[in-house]
Amino acid sequence: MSVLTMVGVSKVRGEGRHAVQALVDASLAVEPGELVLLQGPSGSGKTTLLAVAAGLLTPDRGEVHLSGHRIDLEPQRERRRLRAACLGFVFQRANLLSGLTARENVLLQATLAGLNTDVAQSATDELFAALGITSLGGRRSDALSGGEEQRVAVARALVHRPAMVLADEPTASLDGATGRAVAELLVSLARARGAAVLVAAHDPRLEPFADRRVAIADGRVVGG
Amino acid sequence: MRRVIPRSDRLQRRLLAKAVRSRRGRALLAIAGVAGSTLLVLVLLAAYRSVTGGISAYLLGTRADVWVAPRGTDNLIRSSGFLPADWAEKVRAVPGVARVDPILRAFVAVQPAAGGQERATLLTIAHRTPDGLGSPPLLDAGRQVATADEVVIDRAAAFRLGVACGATLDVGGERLVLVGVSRGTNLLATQLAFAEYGRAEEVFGTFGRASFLLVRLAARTGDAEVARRIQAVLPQASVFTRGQFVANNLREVAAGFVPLLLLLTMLGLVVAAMLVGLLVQGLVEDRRGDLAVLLALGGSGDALTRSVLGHVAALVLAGAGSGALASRVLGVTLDHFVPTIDLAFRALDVGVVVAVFLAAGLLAAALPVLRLRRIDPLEAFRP
Repeated sequence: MSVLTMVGVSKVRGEGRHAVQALVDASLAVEPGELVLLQGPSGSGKTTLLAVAAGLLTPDRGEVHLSGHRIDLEPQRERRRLRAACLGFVFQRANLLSGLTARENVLLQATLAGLNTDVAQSATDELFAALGITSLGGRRSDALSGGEEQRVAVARALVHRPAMVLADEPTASLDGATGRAVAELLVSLARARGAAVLVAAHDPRLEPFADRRVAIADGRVVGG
Repeated sequence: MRRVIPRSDRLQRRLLAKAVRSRRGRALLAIAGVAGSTLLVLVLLAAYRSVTGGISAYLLGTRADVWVAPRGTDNLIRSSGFLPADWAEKVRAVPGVARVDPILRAFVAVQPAAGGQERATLLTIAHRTPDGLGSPPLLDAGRQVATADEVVIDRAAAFRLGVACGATLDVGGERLVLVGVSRGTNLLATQLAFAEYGRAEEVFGTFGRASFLLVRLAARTGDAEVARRIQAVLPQASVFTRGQFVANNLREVAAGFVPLLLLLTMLGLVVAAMLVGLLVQGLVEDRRGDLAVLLALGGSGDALTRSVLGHVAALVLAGAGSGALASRVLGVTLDHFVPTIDLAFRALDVGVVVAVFLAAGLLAAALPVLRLRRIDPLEAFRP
């Protein structure tokens, strides 16, 4: 069964004169352990698609199934629970919480997903070791470099063993070598955990890792 | 049954609380502001308590069970009429009365006889000696007035005049020796002085007249009943039990003090509430990105609201607690170095003020917290 299934999803964003048809009859399926690269120019609807998949936006038409749940029909409370338990996020800028240390950022995601403290701590330690950032655990997130931040973000996205990771331009703000290293870590760790990955990006460095490429233009998905 | 909080919930709460904490500088500023406002309100309350406590302590300490006053007079602080002193004999004849002493009260200018700039106008109570009703109940130093050449003054007045026991004072043009310093007789706007009754009659020119008659009852006699009997004997006078007379005096003090106290308390609360409101507003704006990320990751708006309100409560409690501590230090310091400013801090007042500040702080946080709840988690996706 697919981790994510979107069928005939349409979404208008904005109101009145500013209304934009962000998604038009978009359909997409992502299988467990699969890495799907969603490619398209800026404004093509990539981020809107990720937001609809995460239940952050409700489609005007169509269906969204996440881990067997019609997330678009669920109340906000249940969507939040599904997001916390089933999804991991990697944003363009790592978006770590500035008041917390690197380790605390990851622990918080684990507790939001409902992991008990011991499991959360051991999963965090394990990921920090795998990502080679154990020494950064006690550092405040605003004291980390861009590459370090994104590594911590990868740990945060995977600590609770989600069914799927949604990544929005995860390497766009990193230099070539760092971006490639982060992409490799994200892909290898996600695969090791059986997590599907849906990456919205126009960074060609990610293409070699993709199982499948899906194009999006003017809100229409091609080859989903 | 007490709910057991899972450890992961506790960890989550701790981390959320840390994530929404405001920057240290702003937090310290808010704490200082709340502390300053709390201190202001507590000092005003303490000054009020000092005055009411002072007048109560004196009136309760005079050992008078019933007060007989000129008609139209119902308190010691503001009175100007006189009674014929020989009415004391009529009162003495009333069943249940054990003792009757007249007192005179008048505002009198007092200064050191040796000269100097210091001068104080004191509410002087002239009583019979030795051990007449109306003498100061509590002495800080020295002894009670025993002769016509002696005077006792409040410790704050002694501090203002720069005198101690043994000093000679000019009291309304009479040279009297300071033999005692009383405590609990500071009414803030003025202080009490105590002199011998006969000498005061000479100075004031009030021979045969008294400001009040102080009545001591025989054991196991009801004061209300005796007061009624005295009133029947002296229909031209006003007769009060001790409780009534204390209440009248407290009302007189409160009439001048409470409106100012309420006004400044309100201003203090408004300042503190504005500071807290600004802090939370800044916090929500500062942490807007973080809050959006938390909501996107699956954090609940309720949990974030609780964390922010918990943070506000902690700051207000820290501020109010610091203010309360500072008021205590100020009280001790003033008592030691500047007894003119007599402050009587009460634990209950501190508790109430802290609770009121906490409520005001949480109320002030309500609007910015509502803004927090409207943050769109999609903001987390903005580069």
